[in-house]
Amino acid sequence: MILADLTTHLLSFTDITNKIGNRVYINRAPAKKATPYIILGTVSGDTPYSLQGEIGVTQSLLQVTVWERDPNGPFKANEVAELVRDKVSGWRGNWDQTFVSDCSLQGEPFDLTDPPDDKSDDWWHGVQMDFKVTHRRSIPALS
Amino acid sequence: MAADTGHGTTIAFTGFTEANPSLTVTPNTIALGEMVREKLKTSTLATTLFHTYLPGDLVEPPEIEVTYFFDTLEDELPFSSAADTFALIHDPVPGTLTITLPEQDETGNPPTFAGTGFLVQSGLPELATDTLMVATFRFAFDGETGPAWTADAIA
Repeated sequence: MILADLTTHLLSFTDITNKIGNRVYINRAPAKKATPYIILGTVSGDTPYSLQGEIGVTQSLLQVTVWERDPNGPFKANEVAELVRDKVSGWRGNWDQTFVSDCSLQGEPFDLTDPPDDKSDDWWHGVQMDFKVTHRRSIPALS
Repeated sequence: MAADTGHGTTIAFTGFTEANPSLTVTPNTIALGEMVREKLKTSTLATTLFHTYLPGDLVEPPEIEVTYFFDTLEDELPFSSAADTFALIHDPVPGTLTITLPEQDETGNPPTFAGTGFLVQSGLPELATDTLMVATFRFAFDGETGPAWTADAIA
């Protein structure tokens, strides 16, 4: 699964783990986790077909969101997002066991904010990026 | 009778310089083209309202256009070097192209569209970030044999 492969890829870099530990989650983060952390998700994708079926390559649109809870702004989130961009944008090679032909940032990173979920002034700040990833995937055996 | 998609269609070449070339590309799309009969204009200065026409004597056979995902591991491709035995674009000897369409009942008697001709174009892929490499070729029926349509034989 490409999201698990991306998780392994990101956690292989110490400059990322120095800032977030192993806090990379798929789709949602567990409650009460320290920040910053990274949420990975699949937004959409495209499965190309030949006249004989899948061709063993697929294109996934992956969303990477770095969240931080801080009264002052998304400073750590921006740092982590920049590290993520540095490790994946333009990548060609393996993410764990999956070969990635191409990974390109779609548009630009953009900011998100959410109000505090308690009575503090600790707003949630997010930096979100979409990456189009062309990668290998097994061809269904259909038997 | 049932409508169907083109999924499952295959393409095969026989009778070229290489007796049974194995085209290793898997088509992404196949456009069977069109047959065109010339219109011969017969209207004169005395004709009113619309031009008038006679049908031409002969029909222009179609050209088949094929797109396929380019695989850099393959060596037998339509545009291979002239020294390659499967250099279809370089091969001046006409052969037979057979398009086998999907069957409606999977009993082993599929519909086909086949005839003799030769390759007239081999397009190389565009290389771009974010874009799968797609190549093309175009096969022209020469009108000597076919193209002939064989309907699906329901068992």
